[in-house]
Amino acid sequence: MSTFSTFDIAGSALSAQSLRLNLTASNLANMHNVAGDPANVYRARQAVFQAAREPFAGVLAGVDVLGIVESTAPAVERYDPGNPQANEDGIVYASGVNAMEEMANMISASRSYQSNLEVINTAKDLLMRTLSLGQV
Amino acid sequence: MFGGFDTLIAEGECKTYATQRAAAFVEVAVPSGKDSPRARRDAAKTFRRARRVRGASKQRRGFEVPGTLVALDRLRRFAVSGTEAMESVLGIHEAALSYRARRMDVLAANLANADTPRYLARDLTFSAALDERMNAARSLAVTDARHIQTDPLASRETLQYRIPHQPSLDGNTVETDLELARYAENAVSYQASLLFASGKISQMRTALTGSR
Repeated sequence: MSTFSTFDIAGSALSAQSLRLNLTASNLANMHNVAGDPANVYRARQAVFQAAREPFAGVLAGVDVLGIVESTAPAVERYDPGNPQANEDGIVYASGVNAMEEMANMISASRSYQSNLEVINTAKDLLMRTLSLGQV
Repeated sequence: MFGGFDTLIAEGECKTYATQRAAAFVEVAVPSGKDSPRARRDAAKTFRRARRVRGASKQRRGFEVPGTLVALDRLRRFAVSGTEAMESVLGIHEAALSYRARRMDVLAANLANADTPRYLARDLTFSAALDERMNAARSLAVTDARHIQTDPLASRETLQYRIPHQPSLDGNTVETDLELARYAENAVSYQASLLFASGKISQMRTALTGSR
């Protein structure tokens, strides 16, 4: 057991959750983007997490971001001939970002971030006390 | 550091923690197996020399003469090698601290993977850790260089999977609130062990330096 592995574990979770938070922000920011071609429309992005395995101890430790996947939800078709991005039929395609889903995701990510931060703070506190063990 | 205790040890004005003021006893130790009037006389001579070296500094309880270490008889009793001496000083609290630190890692891993699909929460159980410890104490004796050494540190897998109260749809069994509660409980226990250990250390310091 290494003394600082708690920081590695919780730190990996912090970076994973902050990535998730960034993706949510990106999804919400691009929610109202439209495009004249369904292939060019913005698609909601989500991070895929996987438990990281510590190579030697065999104890599961930390979290890895496997990658970022784009949503396969179909683009929302809307008739809007006044839009400069509309195609010749007057149709624009909006991204299929679900605001409710994103908000729930955001809350979950921020709660997880908080709990991991608490883990780090507690571990730091305990380590500092251990370092001063025996001092007057 | 405490390796020379098998050799002649002279003790002067030892103060034990429990009997602060009544500890002006002078004990002259002789090597075990060599207890004879002559050995005792030699030891007393060494002790007198040690007192002279100590001189006027009445405050100092630990002092040194060439080839002779003067310290608490408690320390001598524990001292086979330096590390063993300190291990005995901290006693069971050292093992408790390392168990708590390991559990801290496991719980931190659970919390880190609170949003990972199909992650199964794990935990150490105290009784399993205790069993492991007891089995390590009962490891095989090695009486020949060609015997296979059983490594007490090569622990059995004491990690166990948690049975969730409310399993989630993605196969994750981490319940963040409960894990946080366990983490806090573990941290408090760690601090308790730390408190006991630091109590032991200050006890040793008081014994070595007197009540200053």
